[in-house]
Amino acid sequence: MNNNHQIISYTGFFSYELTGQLIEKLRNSREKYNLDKSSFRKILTLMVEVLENNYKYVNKLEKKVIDSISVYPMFSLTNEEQYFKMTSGNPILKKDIDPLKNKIDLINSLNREQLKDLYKKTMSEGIYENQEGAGLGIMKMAKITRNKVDYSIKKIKDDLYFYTIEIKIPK
Amino acid sequence: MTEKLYRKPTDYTPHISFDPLKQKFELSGIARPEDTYEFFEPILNWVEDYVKKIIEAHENSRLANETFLIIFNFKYINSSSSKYIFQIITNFKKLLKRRLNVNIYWYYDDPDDQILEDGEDFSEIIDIPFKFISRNKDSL
Repeated sequence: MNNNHQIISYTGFFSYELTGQLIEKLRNSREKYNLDKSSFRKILTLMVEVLENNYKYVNKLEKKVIDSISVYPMFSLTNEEQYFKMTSGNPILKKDIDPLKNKIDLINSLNREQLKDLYKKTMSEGIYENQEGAGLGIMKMAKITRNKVDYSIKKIKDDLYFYTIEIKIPK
Repeated sequence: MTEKLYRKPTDYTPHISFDPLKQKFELSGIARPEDTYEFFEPILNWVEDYVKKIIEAHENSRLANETFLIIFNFKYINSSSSKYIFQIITNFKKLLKRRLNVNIYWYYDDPDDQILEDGEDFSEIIDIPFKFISRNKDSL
């Protein structure tokens, strides 16, 4: 693999502070990767959403689950010919897979107008509902990229799986 | 009289300046607080309390033809902050329903700015007109 197209790559546990550091890294890479203002803003917005989903979920896991993790959370941003590719992965418990899959599959099945309607509905549901996060964030990803949100889920061991989300940001 | 509300901006939290005397309410900068609830809940409570008092004053005929200016000058809003911004605007909309004047100014950089789309979404969802103003300078 040509490392020259890799803008950001990190494996390990994420946090609020680390997200800030990775944003700085993106900001400092603007010139090197010829990131125009529009692409930079889109990447920044998406990066915050995927990283927040990543660490907010992992932070809620019980300590014994975190201690048993052998495949660590990851994030990468690469510069491809036609698009920027953002990948984020984190361990996920079996019980949380179906609600997440249903949410992404629903978002992916909608056209732009339907997606906008769902976004409006979720937004007006109020603060105390939909507290699991992901909902509005994933919709925002689909809205910004105008693409489907690709994902995969692979078994690590027992009830622990690894969830990866992949977003293509057109240039 | 409701006290003025002020929050100094940080790298990831917005500047807040709510001035009841001038009837001018401004939020600007970046909204990505570590704890969205902790940051926005007191601000939302302030707005709810203020709007309630204004409506009471209005019902007692102590207000007429008043104008309230709400300025959003964001560079970035994360999705968990969006819900609070939504609630803040929804509260101010209550004044509009009482036939008071509510002017909402929403600043953005250029037409492909994500923040412009965020503002258009709020305006459409809450069904309240915004005045969109271009900052027209390189930032972020």
